[in-house]
Amino acid sequence: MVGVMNDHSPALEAQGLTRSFGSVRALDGVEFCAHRGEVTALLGPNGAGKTTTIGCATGLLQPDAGTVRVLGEDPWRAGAELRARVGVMIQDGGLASGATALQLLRYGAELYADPLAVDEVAEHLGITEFGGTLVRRLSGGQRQRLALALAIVGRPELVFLDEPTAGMDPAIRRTVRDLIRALARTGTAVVLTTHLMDDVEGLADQVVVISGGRTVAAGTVDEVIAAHRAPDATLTLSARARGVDPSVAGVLAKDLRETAARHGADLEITTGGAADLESVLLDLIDERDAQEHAR
Amino acid sequence: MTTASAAEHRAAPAPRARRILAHAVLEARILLTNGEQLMVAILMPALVLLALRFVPVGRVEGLASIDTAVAATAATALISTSFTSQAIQTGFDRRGGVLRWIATTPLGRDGYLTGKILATLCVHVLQVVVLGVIALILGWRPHAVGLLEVVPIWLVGTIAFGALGLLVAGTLRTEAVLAVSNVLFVLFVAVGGVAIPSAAYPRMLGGLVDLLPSGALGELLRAVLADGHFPVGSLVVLVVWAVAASLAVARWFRWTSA
Repeated sequence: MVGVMNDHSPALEAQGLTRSFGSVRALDGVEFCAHRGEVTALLGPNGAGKTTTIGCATGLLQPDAGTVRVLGEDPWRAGAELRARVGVMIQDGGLASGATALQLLRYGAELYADPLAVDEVAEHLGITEFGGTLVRRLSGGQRQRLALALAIVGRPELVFLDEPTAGMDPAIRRTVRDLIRALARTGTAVVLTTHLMDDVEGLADQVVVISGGRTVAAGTVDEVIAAHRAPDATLTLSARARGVDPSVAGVLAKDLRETAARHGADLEITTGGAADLESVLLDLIDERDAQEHAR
Repeated sequence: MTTASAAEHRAAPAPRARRILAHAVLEARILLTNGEQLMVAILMPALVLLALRFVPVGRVEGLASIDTAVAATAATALISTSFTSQAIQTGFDRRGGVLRWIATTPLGRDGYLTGKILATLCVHVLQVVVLGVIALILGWRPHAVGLLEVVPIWLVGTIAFGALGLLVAGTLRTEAVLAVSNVLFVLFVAVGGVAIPSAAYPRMLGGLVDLLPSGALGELLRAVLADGHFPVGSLVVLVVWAVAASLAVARWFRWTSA
């Protein structure tokens, strides 16, 4: 990725968005804004209205009331020009099951005037290794990667990612997170939904919490936490010191305890574990890959 | 992976013709590499051709059995590809969210439908070649005028049965699409005026069969390929079905399975 951008103008603006299905009111006045160059996470329990919100923003559903503007236009009346500027990864894949992964990716690229290089996208997301496999035989994680590739292959200015890392192994998740960060760095507005809080904390510049079809909180992660935590709540801070020389571990632990005590906090220090489970798993996979390559 | 930034580069759709062609190629490739679809498109009409050539069913007095067999086979092939295959394929696409995703891409809904029609015509060409060769081997000797008259009938029939297939796919649950499209295919071919001409039925029943899209198609193809006349009434019936089914698709087709 090249060209870090500083344009943070709104790419998506939703105001008073209302949508009912029969007698069920799925959206009841959702409001939020997603900016270029930022990752906006829509959070909320199942059935909160996240997918309906994305449906309205991608032109799949017409709101009953309220407005939604995508890149300055009404998505419900979007023509091919606007749809080319918006990438969508829908929750249940939306992939033609009778095609192979690479056939589908090449097809997706052919819909755009100047798409990304298919081979590079496939290589980057690890699709090449299952490129000749029929979509109906892919695992959930492989389908997710293919759906993500299809969402970004047209170089969108705004991309919707519905649970982009669900079902992925840790190594691919890390790749996908890096890719999402890179998209935002180059000026793309990223709107994602997820139930994985570490994704949110690691990726989101803004979070929008939707519940019962309404926006109940919005802001940065810290702002939302600060505004909505109980007045007497305490926090638990966790930090991990890597690469500690065993000979200085005791001194470091003592210094940390003294620092914590100055701020009135109890400090729990664990030693012995060299890394977290995710890192260990990744190291093991890397080790196996290295052995494979050495053969 | 390198990309120009979103601000430096404004994404644009490929030209409309290229988008539609890309979709038609994908659809045709999926249809032609799927064993079940090939069975419906090629094997079943070929079996109908062989059966009607050698078994004394559906024959019309004064007409060569190979001519009536070819007409019935052509109608069977058209219905199998335009109606049954499209209904099943589109029904599964709808359940899998494919239609929803496509509606968000530059291809759009109209591009999807146009590409689908092109893919269907591509499969029809393959059917004509394969079934035509088998028919020639079995002794069929077509007339140029009759073959030319088949073209508009084929186009109207493709629209009528394609729209009926989309109507089934876009309004019923996937499991029901599978059952309904297969049952209707068998009914159209067996008792709907394709394999057995409406004249072979009692008068009242024959009149009803003539009003079916399959009855009109069967009658038209038998007339131009075997009889040498052009039944305008049957063409009107088929056009009415094509228009009515297309309007029904525009009104009731649902792009999501929810």
